[in-house]
Amino acid sequence: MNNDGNKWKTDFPFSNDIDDYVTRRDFIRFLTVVSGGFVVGNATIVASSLESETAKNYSALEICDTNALKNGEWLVFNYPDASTPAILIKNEAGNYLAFSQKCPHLACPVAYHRSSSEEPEHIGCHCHNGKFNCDTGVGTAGPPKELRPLSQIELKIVENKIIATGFKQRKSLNA
Amino acid sequence: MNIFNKPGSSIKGRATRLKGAKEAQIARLIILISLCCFQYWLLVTTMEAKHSGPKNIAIITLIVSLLCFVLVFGLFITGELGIKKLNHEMEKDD
Repeated sequence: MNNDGNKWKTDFPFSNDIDDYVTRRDFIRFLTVVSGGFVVGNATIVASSLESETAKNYSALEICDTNALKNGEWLVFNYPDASTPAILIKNEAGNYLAFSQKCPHLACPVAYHRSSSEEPEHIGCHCHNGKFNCDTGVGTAGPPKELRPLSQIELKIVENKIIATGFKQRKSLNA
Repeated sequence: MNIFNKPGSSIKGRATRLKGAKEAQIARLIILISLCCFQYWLLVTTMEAKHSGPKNIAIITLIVSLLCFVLVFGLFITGELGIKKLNHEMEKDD
């Protein structure tokens, strides 16, 4: 007897739709792997959040000159490390503000929007139409409304240079 | 051995066992899908918490997700063992 279980396929080379069906058993195997993947993903997030908790010392970073932005303009820079994007805004009142560019909802990049006839100036997230107060970074609409505000970066102006010096302490959710 | 004279190994008995195994597998599959959906929700919640919410829930969600995986793996193993046992019994009956 031939032990090759697929011999019949060569003897009778006829395809059938049912050949492409996934069996319940295979689907259960797949779901087990998916479940393991979720655990690994969760563990990775926990590990990275523990790592970021330990890195609390931020160095100063020169962002740009004070005359680089006009009122209602903004730019993207990286702070506190080269891979973390942040935004520097010169709001319509002429004040400099800087925030982390990661939306607190699902980390999509946020962007500054000037005031229009429909709404005042704000920071917006395009992914889920989240909006933030431009002065405080507090969520005002969409999913970020229920979450923590954007991380605000402390700024210092020395000899016409805007310098990022660290993050402002955020209020807790329950405060 | 005449399998038709043996209780539980008749054609009817075999069909009943196969039907039972199939239904158990479907039940297992439904539980697994529910657990995976719950784990997905946990993952999204952990990510939101990391970016903005209370960070201490990340450890709790990890533990719960791990427990879900243990359940999923347990169901997978019992399913595999069940199928093997059934095949073995069928072969023995034949």
